[in-house]
Amino acid sequence: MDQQQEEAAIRAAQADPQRFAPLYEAYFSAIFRFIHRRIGQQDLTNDLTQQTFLKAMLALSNFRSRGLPFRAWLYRIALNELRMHWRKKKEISMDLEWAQLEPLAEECGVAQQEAEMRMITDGLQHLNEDQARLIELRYFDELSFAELGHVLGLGEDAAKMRTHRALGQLRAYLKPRA
Amino acid sequence: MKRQYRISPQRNDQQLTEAEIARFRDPKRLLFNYENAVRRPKRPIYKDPKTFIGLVLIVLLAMLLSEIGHQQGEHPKSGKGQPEQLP
Repeated sequence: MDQQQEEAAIRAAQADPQRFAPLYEAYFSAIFRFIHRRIGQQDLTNDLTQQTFLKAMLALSNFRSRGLPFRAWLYRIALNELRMHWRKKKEISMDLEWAQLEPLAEECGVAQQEAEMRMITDGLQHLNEDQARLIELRYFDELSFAELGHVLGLGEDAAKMRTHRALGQLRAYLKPRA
Repeated sequence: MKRQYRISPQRNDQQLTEAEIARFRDPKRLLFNYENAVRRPKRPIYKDPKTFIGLVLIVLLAMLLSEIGHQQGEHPKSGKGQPEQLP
């Protein structure tokens, strides 16, 4: 769905919620994967995905594009749903695929071998929650800095700066170990 | 909160396939939930101060009327309610 089609679909859904289906169809997979990566259980992922879209439908009249893709707004709602789910948890886990770690390994200048990949995940555990979330959203969910800023309630420049700072910390953790 | 990252042991993508995700896609359920959410009153009555005070006043008035009715039953003004003495 290109930007014009997306804007038209949003306007149509704002006028008539029955016409939300094209947006749901377009972004269901992305939101499902985003949540599944952080939850791991398909049924629970499905519930949270449905809840995300329901909240999006209920708040759609307040949505203003401001040049950002609709999916950034959906990611923000999904992240809030996840936070509510995590509130009762003492530990959260994220499932990663090899391919998702490769760009991060490249950015950190470490070899794409199993031991190095494990070091990266250890390093992520040593970052604070905000820094780890920035790296997750940027490298594992492949969000642009503008989208990332929108999801976390930051400006684009602030998102970029904080991500670079988090990467710096990760590199500092990896350097003596690599 | 402790965070943990699990790496898939295989190099191949372990991501869910589109077909697996499609099983969960259910726009009808979403619309049904939306209609339920919209139809439901946004705030429960007891959380709306005006309605709540109105309800309390109605209950108090009903209690007062019931009490008055009860007292009138026990002490009738005209004495018509007194039992007649038998000859």
